Amino acid sequence: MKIRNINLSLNAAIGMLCLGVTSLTPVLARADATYYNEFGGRAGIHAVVTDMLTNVLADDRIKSYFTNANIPVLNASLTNQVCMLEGGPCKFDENMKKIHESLGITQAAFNALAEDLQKSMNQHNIPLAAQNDLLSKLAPMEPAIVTK
Amino acid sequence: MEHKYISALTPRRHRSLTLALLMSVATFLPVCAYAQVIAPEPKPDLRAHMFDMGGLITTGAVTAIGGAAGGGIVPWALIGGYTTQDQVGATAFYTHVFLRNYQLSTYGGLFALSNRVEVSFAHQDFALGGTGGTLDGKIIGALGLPATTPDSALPHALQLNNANLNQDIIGIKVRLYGNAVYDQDTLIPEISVGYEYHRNENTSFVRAIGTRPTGNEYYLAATKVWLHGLFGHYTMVTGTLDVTNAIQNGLLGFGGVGPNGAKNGYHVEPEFAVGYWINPNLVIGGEYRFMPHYQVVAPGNVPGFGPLGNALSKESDWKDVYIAYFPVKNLSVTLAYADLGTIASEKNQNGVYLSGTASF
Repeated sequence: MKIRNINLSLNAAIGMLCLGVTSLTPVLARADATYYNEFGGRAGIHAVVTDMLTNVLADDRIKSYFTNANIPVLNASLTNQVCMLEGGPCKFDENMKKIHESLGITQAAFNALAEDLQKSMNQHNIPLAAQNDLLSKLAPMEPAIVTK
Repeated sequence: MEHKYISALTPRRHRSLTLALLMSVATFLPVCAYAQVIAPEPKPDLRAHMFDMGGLITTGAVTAIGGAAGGGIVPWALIGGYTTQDQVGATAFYTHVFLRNYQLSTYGGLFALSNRVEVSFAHQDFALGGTGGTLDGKIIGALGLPATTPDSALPHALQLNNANLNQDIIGIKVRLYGNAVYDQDTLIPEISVGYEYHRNENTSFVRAIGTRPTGNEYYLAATKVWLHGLFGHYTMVTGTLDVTNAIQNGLLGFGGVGPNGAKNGYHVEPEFAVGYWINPNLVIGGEYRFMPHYQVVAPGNVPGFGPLGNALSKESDWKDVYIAYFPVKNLSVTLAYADLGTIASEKNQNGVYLSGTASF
């Protein structure tokens, strides 16, 4: 590319990026209730969370974090959170930063738990877009949860 | 890396593998959502986790031909391997491109530290094959020698029949800002800067065409990943600005002197890559890399060779479409169709690109 074309190319570059961003936006804004139903409502979410916790407690990478956890209470709370995130009629208002700050959670542990969740969602045949929607809402919680 | 983890995936291959690739995105989340529920004491031994593959998205195991984590021809902002902030990792790759007249093979690897820095190495071997003999014929003509002149009468540096052009590339990439996987609530991408030092081994050949055997390349890369992107699938867009004076990425040297007698300086060239995950272990996409298109008219070290040096230096923008498959998260096989345009005066250098990367 000749020097005089650099500006043109840069503009094209920025234009393409912006185009990419704007064209994705409507897709990102898809109504969430669809996914709540694809999860099978609160009962379906409860089943996914239950198996996720089973996976977690068998996961050598992270099970030690849960040694003293009250699993039924954790299960109920997680179910409410996922239910709310997917547009269901549930309430979850815990402060994610506060409840995790003393736990020393690493990024690797955060990721491992996400994998255990994915494994459970696959076991329950949750459609990919619904899975990804949940992941996209959980991922930004990393700064609040990972303190190590 | 946990083999246990991989074998745990086998029960339901398709879906479970998914997970493998998946980004680990998510959730510690709610999980510990209860301070009263979870006791703070358990602190896993950090060292035990050093080599776990923490990253979630499958891009950690694809390598650009220059050795950096990326697509086939464009480096991405993502740090290679699957490291998180406490981990080290490594990848190794091999790539072969079957072009119309030439073959390019590349191998190398990288070390990644804490999802922050990657240090990479690549060795490229560009085989001219019988086309090198054709180029010798053109050189003999350009020098005004009789057509019957044998290749062996040419200066050694210009005896190209079945010759290989080789270069080594050492690179470093540093992530400056953002995390493409976690940052789902903002449009700001992950941003990295990179530097590559190229050393062409065919010193006398590149000097003969008027270019230099070593060069520096700098780039700024921005990668945005949407976990819930197009149609709810993972979607990636990368834009990279490359500062370079390489000709054919350095296989034909660097810089040289242009038509007005001035040195060929650095150009800023944009590069783009897109990726769309059909499922967490299958990605399709494309890449486009603008090239400097220098003219090299200096006579070089061989009198009368200037015009041919110029012809040999003509290049085209590089582009490809690819499909990458991750049988497991730490292994990728990429099949692409690459169009590298004109190389060393031979047009339409298109062909199949095959690449494999393993991460550790």
